[in-house]
Amino acid sequence: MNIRMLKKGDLILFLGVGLIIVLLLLWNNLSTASGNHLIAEVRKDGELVKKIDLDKVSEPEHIYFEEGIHQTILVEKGRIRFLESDCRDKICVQAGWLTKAGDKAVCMPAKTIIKINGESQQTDSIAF
Amino acid sequence: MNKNKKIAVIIILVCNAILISLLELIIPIPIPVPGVKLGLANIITLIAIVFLDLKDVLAIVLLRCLVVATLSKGLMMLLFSISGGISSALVMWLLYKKMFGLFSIKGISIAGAVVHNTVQIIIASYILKEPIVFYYLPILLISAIVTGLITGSISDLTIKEIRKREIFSDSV
Repeated sequence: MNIRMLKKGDLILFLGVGLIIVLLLLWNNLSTASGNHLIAEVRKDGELVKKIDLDKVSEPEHIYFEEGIHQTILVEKGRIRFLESDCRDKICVQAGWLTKAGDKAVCMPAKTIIKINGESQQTDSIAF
Repeated sequence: MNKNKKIAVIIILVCNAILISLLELIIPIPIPVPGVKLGLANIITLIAIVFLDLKDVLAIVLLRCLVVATLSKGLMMLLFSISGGISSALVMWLLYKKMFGLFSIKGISIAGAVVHNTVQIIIASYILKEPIVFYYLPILLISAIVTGLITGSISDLTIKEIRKREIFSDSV
């Protein structure tokens, strides 16, 4: 039996996983709030630590986590990021600036997550 | 395989799995998504599935996860390694033993990578109490196809070579 050839099951697997990828991307696109008023949320261990209106940040601000894995989060007008982290892989820092609604950065070892929610400022205009 | 040879083979596979897992930590992955990695230890899991029993396969995965987590990632990450490693080993074992006519080694490897990444991101969502599954899963699935194909191809070549040279048979 030639095991190097791709078989029927492989093709079904490819198509199945491909379909799931497309559906998830569509779902993500549709479910992200499109508002341009950016609210950032910082959560640690599932608890909300800080909620920041990114449009109202005038001076750069740091958020420090001193317990367990040391981390620094930097907030500027319209954007937020993990600046430093003592975790091993630094995936959170590599994620860079979060600038638009739906953006997320997580640090699994520290159980920290930053996410940006988009809210539209003039919701009453579409209420009817 | 007689009992002594089998134990020797298991030890060799565990050592190899630990070594390539540690080696993999040196390779930088330029994708800032938690869970994206080559998963080279999957090669060893696949070899074990083809030549050994399920309980030996699971023992190899467990030992590798324990040692690698202790030496590098820390105990919190052990939960991720073990859940991903065991679930993907089980699925690959099922596909190989029960449906081998349908899947190639590469296909089985990809299925294993897909299960591994999916289980891990679901656990991550529970730990963070935040539904990051939907956000990261598309990238994790694409990464699973690519890395599954790479490790599957290496496994495929290795398994053929082991068969050809009859390395795991009793006569050698």
